[in-house]
Amino acid sequence: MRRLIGAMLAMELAACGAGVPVDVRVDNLELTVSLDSATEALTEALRMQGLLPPGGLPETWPEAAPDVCVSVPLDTSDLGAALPVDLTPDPAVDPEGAQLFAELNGGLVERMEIQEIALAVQENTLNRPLPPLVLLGADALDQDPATGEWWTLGRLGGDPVLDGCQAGATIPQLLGPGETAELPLVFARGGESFLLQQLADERCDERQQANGGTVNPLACKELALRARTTLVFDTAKWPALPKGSLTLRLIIAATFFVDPL
Amino acid sequence: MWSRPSLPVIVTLAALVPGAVARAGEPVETETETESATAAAAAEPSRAEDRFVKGELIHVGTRELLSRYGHGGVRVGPHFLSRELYLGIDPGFAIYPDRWGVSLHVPLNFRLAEAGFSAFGGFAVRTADWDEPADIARVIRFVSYGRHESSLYFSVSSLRPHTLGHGELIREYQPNIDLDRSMTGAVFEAYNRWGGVQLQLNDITFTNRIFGALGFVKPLGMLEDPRLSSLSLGFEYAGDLRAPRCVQVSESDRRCVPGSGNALGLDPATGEPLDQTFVRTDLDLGRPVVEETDLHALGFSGEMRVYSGDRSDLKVFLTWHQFLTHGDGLAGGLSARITTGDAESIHAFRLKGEYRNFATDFLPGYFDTYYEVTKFQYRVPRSRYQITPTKYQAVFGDPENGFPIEDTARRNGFRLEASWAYFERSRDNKKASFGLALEDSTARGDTNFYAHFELPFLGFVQAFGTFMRLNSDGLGGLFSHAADDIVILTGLRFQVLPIMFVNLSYTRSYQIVRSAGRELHLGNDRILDVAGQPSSFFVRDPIFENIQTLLVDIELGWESRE
Repeated sequence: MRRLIGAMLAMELAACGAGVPVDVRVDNLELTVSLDSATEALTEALRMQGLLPPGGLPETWPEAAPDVCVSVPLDTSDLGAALPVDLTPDPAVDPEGAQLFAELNGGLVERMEIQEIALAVQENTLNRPLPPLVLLGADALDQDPATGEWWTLGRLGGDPVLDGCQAGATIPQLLGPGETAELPLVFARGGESFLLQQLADERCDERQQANGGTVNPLACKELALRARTTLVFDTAKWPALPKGSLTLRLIIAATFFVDPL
Repeated sequence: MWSRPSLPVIVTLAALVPGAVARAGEPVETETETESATAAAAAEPSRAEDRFVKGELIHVGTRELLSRYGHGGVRVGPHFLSRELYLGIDPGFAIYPDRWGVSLHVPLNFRLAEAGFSAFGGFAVRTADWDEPADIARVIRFVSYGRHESSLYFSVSSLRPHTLGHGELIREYQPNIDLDRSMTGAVFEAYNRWGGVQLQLNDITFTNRIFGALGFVKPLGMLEDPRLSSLSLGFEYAGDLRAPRCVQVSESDRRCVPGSGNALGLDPATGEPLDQTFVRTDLDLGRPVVEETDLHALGFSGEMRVYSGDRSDLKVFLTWHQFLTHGDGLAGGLSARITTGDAESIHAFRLKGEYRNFATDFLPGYFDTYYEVTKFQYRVPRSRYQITPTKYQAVFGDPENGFPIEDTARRNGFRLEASWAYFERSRDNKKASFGLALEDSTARGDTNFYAHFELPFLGFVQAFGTFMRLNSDGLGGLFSHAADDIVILTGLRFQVLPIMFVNLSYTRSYQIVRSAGRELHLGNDRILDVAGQPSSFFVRDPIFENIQTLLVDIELGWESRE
């Protein structure tokens, strides 16, 4: 899933000296969560605990079988690599994208201010309620989800991701089965600062050198994103096999203050 | 309709000056006081107040230039406030009935363009101008009775800074150094030949609570000897009842941000950052969430005139002040007032030199021009902590939150001041003035400098300017290229037509960096990873940034020159 994300961009400039503001709205970054991809992990978890019925995972948990509760981590990167977000596309590779962000990259972003950040649940075919989701970010565009440092940017709706199989645990439900809505992202501690630093140019060179690389302006203003949650297979509450998928659209509206070169 | 000021106009404006405060023990310079001078030479000015010019010559930190005369009208023009453009509309007036001075206005800024003119602003009133209780009082430019140095003086003003006594506690405190905050202070003074009292506060709405009080007596005032009779003993109090002790994480997490013990990286158990220096500003005003505390200081001062001539004098003074439960400071020095020139051209000089010795947990002039900014984030070079401390933490320490004071040696320092003013024919007809001040000490970041001028040299053109640089790192720091510790306040006013004036104002002051509810990373490069390296990622966010404003106003109205 290595594709450069297109963006809807509104840019207006005026010559006012340092820190020319450039308004950017990116609203078609998509992340997909599929419960189908979790089936294998769920099967494996039940097998490990000796709870898997003969014949494999049924469509509906047998009434005669004892109820089980299994938590399985679910990650958008289960469907592939993390989602790359690149506001400095290489003109040789993506001239259209480079043109789109030309004014943003015509100087050094000294700071930025986020006006809006939300996740829109675009498509929802889940057959069970949507549990809380966490959005994570990493410095490198191609950061391996399994390695490296991933920062928690925030939580969809603000609720933490819980292991719903713990005694007395009640998992908040963000949306019912099949429902769609736009949900605000509540920043975690350090999450907003991470995003601001990642999308600004300040210290980008330094960061690249510290990581052993050479200075490359085209490697600034980029990050990788992924979302994760915990799928709870609690047959007492939901005997049906979890199915369906979810498409999340990230919406970021921000003002970049650009120092012209 | 409006009467002429009962006193000469320039003096009346000076009378609005909370900062132009009589020094402890200064003789009461009432209108009836006579000088001990011998008969002046024929070429010298005839009036005593012209032969020997008293009072302040300059008013450092003034924010706005007003007409020197009674006037009424409306100012209209573009206001460039940092990155936004507004249309300023400011109807107002000033009148001077009898011993009163009253000037009210309604300063409104209508947004023409949003951040850097990127979009039409909808002509909305600038909310930051009117979103705090203290903002209500901004309609008062000044209301005053009497004049500074007279037996009774009262002033409510938003224009001028405050100084108390010799400035060891409150020195040129400017409540309006933050673009988004307005405060209107008050001063009350009453004097007679045996003593006097002065009271001041920074905000008449009591939303902010900085108070100052000065009382002095002249116990030997009955003696004939001019030296002994000039002896004055003063008592001072200054305090901030809402001094920020520490910056807290957020409105929902009231922990103080630690000044040490932070590390880079994530806690493997929780996935949370080990760096505890991320904070979120309050949801209403965008200011840092802080824990407040009371801060009180007391002090004594003594002053005596050791030389008294016809047109000059020399005083010696000694002060001692103590922040309650914290350190103390001593200061002593000389101040001279000299007047020269003839009946046509009068030159006045002020010279002052002061030596200081103070404890680690004391800072002379603690409530200074930058206080409303530095009380949240006291930025000095070579910080010892992982975040920039509040001024309280920097000066007094806060070991509980990781701000210990390790060096307990007493500090030594000095302050030098010089000012000059030129008057034509009368002390009431100032044409130009200029002043400089420099202070330094062995304390960290305690090098301060200002230069100030006032040029009312032509009747139809007036100008003033203040350049100020505080908390520099030694004398060399005064010449640093970094400009974020510089405050500039300037104004120019000239008359185009009898009913039309142009007012220009350029300032460098401060504004909160981010909007309400946003996150700031206060940590600096003393926060290290496991390899002992600072972050190549997170930079230190200042809470305030140094911003520029330019106001260009056309004023249409009537001005009384009677």
